[in-house]
Amino acid sequence: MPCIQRSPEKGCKAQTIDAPYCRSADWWRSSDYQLENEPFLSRCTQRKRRARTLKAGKQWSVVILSSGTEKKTPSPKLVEEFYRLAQQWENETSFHSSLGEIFTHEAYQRIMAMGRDALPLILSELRRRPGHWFYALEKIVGQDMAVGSRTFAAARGAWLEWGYKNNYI
Amino acid sequence: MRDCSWLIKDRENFENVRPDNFSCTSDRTRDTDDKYNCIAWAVGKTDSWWWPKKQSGYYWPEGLPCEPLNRETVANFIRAIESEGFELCADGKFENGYEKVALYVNHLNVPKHAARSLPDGTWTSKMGDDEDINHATLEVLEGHGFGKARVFLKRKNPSFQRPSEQNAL
Repeated sequence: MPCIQRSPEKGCKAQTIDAPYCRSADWWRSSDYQLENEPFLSRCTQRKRRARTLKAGKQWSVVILSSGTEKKTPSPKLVEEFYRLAQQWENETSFHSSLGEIFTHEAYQRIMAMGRDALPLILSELRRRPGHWFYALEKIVGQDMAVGSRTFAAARGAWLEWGYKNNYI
Repeated sequence: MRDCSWLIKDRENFENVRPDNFSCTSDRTRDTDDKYNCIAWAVGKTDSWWWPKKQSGYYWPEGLPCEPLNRETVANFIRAIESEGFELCADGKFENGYEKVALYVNHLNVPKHAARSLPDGTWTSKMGDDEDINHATLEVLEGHGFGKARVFLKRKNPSFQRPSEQNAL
């Protein structure tokens, strides 16, 4: 038996939905409406629903689906330690051209040992100033996200773009 | 331009630097994307950071090997500098019509710095991410930081003639 679909909302194209059962036209207004039913609706309709829900000041929650990675906020202790080590590293290696001296400095190694928790701090620092962070980033992430970048500026841009996309900055 | 007195104060790395044997000639590049280091500066380049490390954002002449950190070899640096038209020579003494590069190596014979001669017989060095400086002799920068100037290369440059020698021609 064919299922009668609710008319599409104004401004939305009609969707052919393979609904498992028939519903009344106002089924979605009922209190037992669950967000997991949303995949049955067109994206356009979903957007309108959310906007209308917010406008009406309803009490139920509006769930915003994130890309999957939550932005992490490092602990104050880690932040303090990071900036102390970064300052020491910069003071003691800024006159060096040798990447060996720069990347194997004790303070730099300790920052790398902080692991992924240090990524938001390193990327923020890289955004603020073009420091020699590519080596630490590659070692922590396990992959060179700036591969093929021939200049410092290009590598910096590639890492910052990766940082934005992955919610680190 | 930033005050360069940090160089005088750093007795641990630059024991021979005194106010009367060096001067700052350009500001540091720590805050810019246009990074170059002493090796690039020595061969007359300011568009990249030369080091034999396989790392995005840095440069090493094509066809030459990348090497482990702090185990870089003099031979590799000689080939890199030769790629810009230099050839090995005996010492850093001024030669009419030639500009010279001096390669500083540490006690393990690992390259740490390079300086380039100027037409007036003095030397110019890029101090990592810090300033370009003009130093009276190669010995000024010898010490714990860069080691000693041990390897020398030269290339023809007709503009490298002291005024007195130009008059004699």
